Amino acid sequence: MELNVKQSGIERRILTSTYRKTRREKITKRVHELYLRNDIACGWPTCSKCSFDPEARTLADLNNETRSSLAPYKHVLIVDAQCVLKFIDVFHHEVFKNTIILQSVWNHVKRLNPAIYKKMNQLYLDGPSDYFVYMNEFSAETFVDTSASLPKESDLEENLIKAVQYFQLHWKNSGVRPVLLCSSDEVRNKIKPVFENSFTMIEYVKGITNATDLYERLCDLDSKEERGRALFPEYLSQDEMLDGLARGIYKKGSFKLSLENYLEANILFDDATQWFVQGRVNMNRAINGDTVVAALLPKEQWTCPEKVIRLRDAEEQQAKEMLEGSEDLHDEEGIKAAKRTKLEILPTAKIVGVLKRNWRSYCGLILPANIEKGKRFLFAPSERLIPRIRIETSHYEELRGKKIVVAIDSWPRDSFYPRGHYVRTIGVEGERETEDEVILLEHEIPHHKFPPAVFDCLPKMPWTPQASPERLDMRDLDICSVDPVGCTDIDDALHCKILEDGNLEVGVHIADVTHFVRPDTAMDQEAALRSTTVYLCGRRIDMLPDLLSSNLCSLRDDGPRYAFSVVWKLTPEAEILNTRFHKSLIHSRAALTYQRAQDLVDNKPLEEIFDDLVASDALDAKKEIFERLRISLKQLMALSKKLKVRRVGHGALQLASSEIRFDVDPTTGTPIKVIEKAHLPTMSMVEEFMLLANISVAEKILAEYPDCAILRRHPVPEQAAFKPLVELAKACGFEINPQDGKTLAESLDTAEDPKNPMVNTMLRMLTTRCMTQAVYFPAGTLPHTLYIHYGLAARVYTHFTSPIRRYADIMVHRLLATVINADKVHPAMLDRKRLVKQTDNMNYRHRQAQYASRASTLLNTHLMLKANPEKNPLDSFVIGIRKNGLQVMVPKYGLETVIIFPATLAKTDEEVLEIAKQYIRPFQKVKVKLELVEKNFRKKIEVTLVEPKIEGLNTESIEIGSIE
Amino acid sequence: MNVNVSLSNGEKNYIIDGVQDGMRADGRGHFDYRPIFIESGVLATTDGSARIRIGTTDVLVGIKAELATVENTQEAVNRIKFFVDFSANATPQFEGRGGESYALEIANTLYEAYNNDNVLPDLSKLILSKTHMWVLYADIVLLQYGGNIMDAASLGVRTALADTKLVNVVVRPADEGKLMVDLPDERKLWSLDVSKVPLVVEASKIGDVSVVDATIIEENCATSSLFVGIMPPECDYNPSAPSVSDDDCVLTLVRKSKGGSLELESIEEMINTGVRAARELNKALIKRLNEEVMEPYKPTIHRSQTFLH
Repeated sequence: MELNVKQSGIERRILTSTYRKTRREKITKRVHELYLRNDIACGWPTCSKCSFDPEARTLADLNNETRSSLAPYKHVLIVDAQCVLKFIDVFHHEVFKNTIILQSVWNHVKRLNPAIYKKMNQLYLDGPSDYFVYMNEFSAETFVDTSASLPKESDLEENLIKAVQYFQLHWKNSGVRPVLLCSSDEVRNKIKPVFENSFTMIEYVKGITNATDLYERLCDLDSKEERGRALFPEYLSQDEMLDGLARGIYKKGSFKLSLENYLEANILFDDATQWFVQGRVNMNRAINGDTVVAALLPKEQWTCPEKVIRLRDAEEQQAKEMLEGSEDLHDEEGIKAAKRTKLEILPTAKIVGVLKRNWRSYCGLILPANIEKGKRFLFAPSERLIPRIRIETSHYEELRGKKIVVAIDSWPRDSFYPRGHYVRTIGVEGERETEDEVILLEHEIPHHKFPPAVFDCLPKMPWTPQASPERLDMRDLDICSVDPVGCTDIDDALHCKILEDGNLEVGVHIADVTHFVRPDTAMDQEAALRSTTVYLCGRRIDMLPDLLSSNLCSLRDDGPRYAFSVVWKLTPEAEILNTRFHKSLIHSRAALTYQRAQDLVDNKPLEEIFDDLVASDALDAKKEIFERLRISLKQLMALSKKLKVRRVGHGALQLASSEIRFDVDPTTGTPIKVIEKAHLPTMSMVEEFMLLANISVAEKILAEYPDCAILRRHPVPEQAAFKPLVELAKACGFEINPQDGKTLAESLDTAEDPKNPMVNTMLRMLTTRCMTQAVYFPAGTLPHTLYIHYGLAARVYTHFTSPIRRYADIMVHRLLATVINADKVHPAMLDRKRLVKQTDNMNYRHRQAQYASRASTLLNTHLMLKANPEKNPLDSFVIGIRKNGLQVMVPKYGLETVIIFPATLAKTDEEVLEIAKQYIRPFQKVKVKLELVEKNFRKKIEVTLVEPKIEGLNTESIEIGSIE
Repeated sequence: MNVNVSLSNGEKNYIIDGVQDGMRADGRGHFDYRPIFIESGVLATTDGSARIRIGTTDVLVGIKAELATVENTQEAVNRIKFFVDFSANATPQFEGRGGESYALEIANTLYEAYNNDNVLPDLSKLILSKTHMWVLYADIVLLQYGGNIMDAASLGVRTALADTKLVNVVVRPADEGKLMVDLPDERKLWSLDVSKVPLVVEASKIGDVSVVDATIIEENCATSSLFVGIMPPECDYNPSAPSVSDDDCVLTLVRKSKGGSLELESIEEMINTGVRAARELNKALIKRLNEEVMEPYKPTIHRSQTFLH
């Protein structure tokens, strides 16, 4: 006897069971209860049979009888899952308003393709009356029992059929009919006998007048792959790969294309070893970043890198563009392995399968077709490491010269290029906004506006800091900040006071961001996602809203601010006697620039330094303060020099990077002037105290939280990584000893060429490239010996001093605040899994931000050269020699390029390049001419060698980008 | 083993004399069963389940398949593991550990009956790889004691096995030369072939005749009893197979229960009684189960009754 009390629209209960594998490798059965209902509204606004919640979303009562000739009646569209997966990029079109997405379709898309699911979800959220989701899996009328062992595809079809039949019947008297849109003819043919109003999406759109655009777009997306001659070996099946991996025949690793030669790549494995891959066939359609499975080739096929520069642009120029249909892997023949001496050959592998694709959407340009009025085009992504993508479009004229976004769909075996489809247009190529957007998109930098929830976390203005007993009142101290010109997000300020016993009190005061950014609020989550502020030339993408970045947190001199202070007692010899940490209230006396601070230290008269204040008579009132600051700064400067000497003595490296800045016209946004950043002693001074603060904080939080302190480490580089540097230096007569940090620092100091002061800078620059980047990590995830920061020669290190622009600092602030009992512990601070995830994200964002800044510098170089062409040859230096090219650095723009010679002309033994009886050696000064040229609608900087002059030489150059 | 009921000598004599005369106290003949109710699929969370009621006896059986990792499946014992639990609710005598030894006897008897390669040939399909195998557990819970637990338990196990559905898995190589078991993308279930699964019947000696399906009171009057397990001959489930007489049936188990000694002739007679009852029981059960298979989807709970005359 079954007894039920049903108070809502429950029709019946069913049990469904699923099987899953547990973490302990057991297979378990799970039973779910499911209550099927009869009160789920169909969505039609005037339906007499369903009752509606007036708040609920409904379909719109559109008069679409005349829309498509195929359905001359009022109708609602229902789409199958493949339609969503295939055509999602056109769903925003108004033709698709009033579409029902079934729950089963929704779930299928969600399971199959998260990226498309995200788009679908956004579509649903964006248009309140465009799309309606019908919960067919909960409705008694449309439920299909999938617990019987049916294959998934037919489940979906059955769900569709049941749902459309239900709507048909349900709306019989409502004057509206369901229309089913299928993705393909096969599905349509299968369903048509049981449900008459089934069409393919393309048929339906074809029947619409004035929608040829949409029709063509759909055809482009739908285009079938025709099978041709297979150009690439077949991938192994998932099972074969797993089997091979288990038996050790294959290895799984990450595919990294060579930066110099697009036909060479390495596969990096977890155990830090790598295999070499050469040629298109062996690379077998892998794209940079994919997780691939590779098999080692027999030893006699092992080879080594060609040491030839091959870049897609140049190669294809020379090969005069392959014609459509006649594509071949002919360039394979071009590879002539370098002399295979036994020492040089590397373990060489071929790729047998791809486990995980690293595909995303790419920005780039469409290339002109070779065939007139063709529909197939090649798309050149901005990122050099990504191959050309073939797309089909009927709108070439509209897309020409625009930066567009293209997604890869597949890479069939018979196709030379991966196939993709057009997603959207960003803007006209070469325009500042377009290019900035491209940089942000390409580096996956979140740059959307802050959502309202974030603004809700901000304090209500007007807001002023209040003195409170927990905060140490330091407003009486003469604190000042020293920053670059135009800096509005002031993170740090300093003070120095002479104590009665002759010792010195030095304080580093950091903006107290965590007072405003509380854990797990919307603002905190947004900041955690962004992880860093990104600086492009003339644009800043903030990590925190402007109110905090530039006002409440920024330690400006216009009022009191909350700060987090590190205060040391130092001897005049800069030995630390004690360290204290306080939450504090400070009032900065002045926001100085590096130059002004330097002028103060250099005893320049105040009238000269603060010439802007003289006119307004404001200087007199502040004279006394500035004089006091002058004394403080001098003491700080003296201390910092001692600190630096000690640090360098411990083996800290001083590395060089060419830093340039553009003077940007504030109205037009075009760069006017390029300025090489001058180095001032005050910069080192501030840096030295920031390092000291970071180290002090790192030691403190590590002592208190050995399992979850956020630290920053810089791995000790492998000796092998220095090999190219040591050899290059040797060629120029210098000895570099990379045994440890100290010997390296010392040998770099001695490697000076009196005739060419740039040699030392370049050596330091190249040293940087031998090392891996510093990374954040939670303590306890690595052995203690790996905590070390190699570059700074610090046992432990962290980031504490820039919480306005780095999320790591916020995490460290929170930890330190709990250590000094100024704040409570939030569970997220101790959750190891979350910390690892967050540090991974910070490392990724940090890296991307750096790349984006560099890309922005390069972009500005372009804009600059466009506005003010460089007429005179520029000084530049050779930093590397390859078989067919020179790596050249142009210091004025921080630009690094490669000049390629026809391989027949040049002779090289990698130390000296001989070309037309001219010898070129590494680090040699040469003169080059820069020119902005346009090729294939792509603008690039062409670099030609002017001095030494080589007759009859036709060179190509490739821009590598601005360097670190 | 026995559940004791206080009976006076007079009462005992009445019952024994009645049985001798072919008339049991409740009006049944020697080979009559009380009404039997069978439900299968009663516990959704098991892989197969059944509930059997014979008169007032009430037994719940659940089959669970568990994935086991062993050194070498060739050497592992590939048999169903039986666990019997006598609930204290079944009779007050089972309180605490009261029912333990009786429960163990039932479990051991079932294990014996199933302990050969012929009764459940599909056991070989449970071996997945050199290191992986499914192990079947049969959990038998006695909800109420009304006599004749053995028949109820064996019917229950057999029905639950018929209801058991196992999920198809694939074996894939994992790291270090080991293997791992994974679920394939497409889910498939399979059932065991239960046509040869043994039925065990208890034949009780009351006076000098043997009866089946003894009640508690009758059990207290019996001098001895015998568990008889048979592997159902093919003709009982396949009408086209040549018929087999009771004498040619394959016995998988003969085991004496309770005290008292038995003469050889008595044993022979009791075996005959057991075989006959078991075959009848089996035929009725197959008929019933087939009816269920033909009508697989019923919105209400599956419920079937089996009367054996």
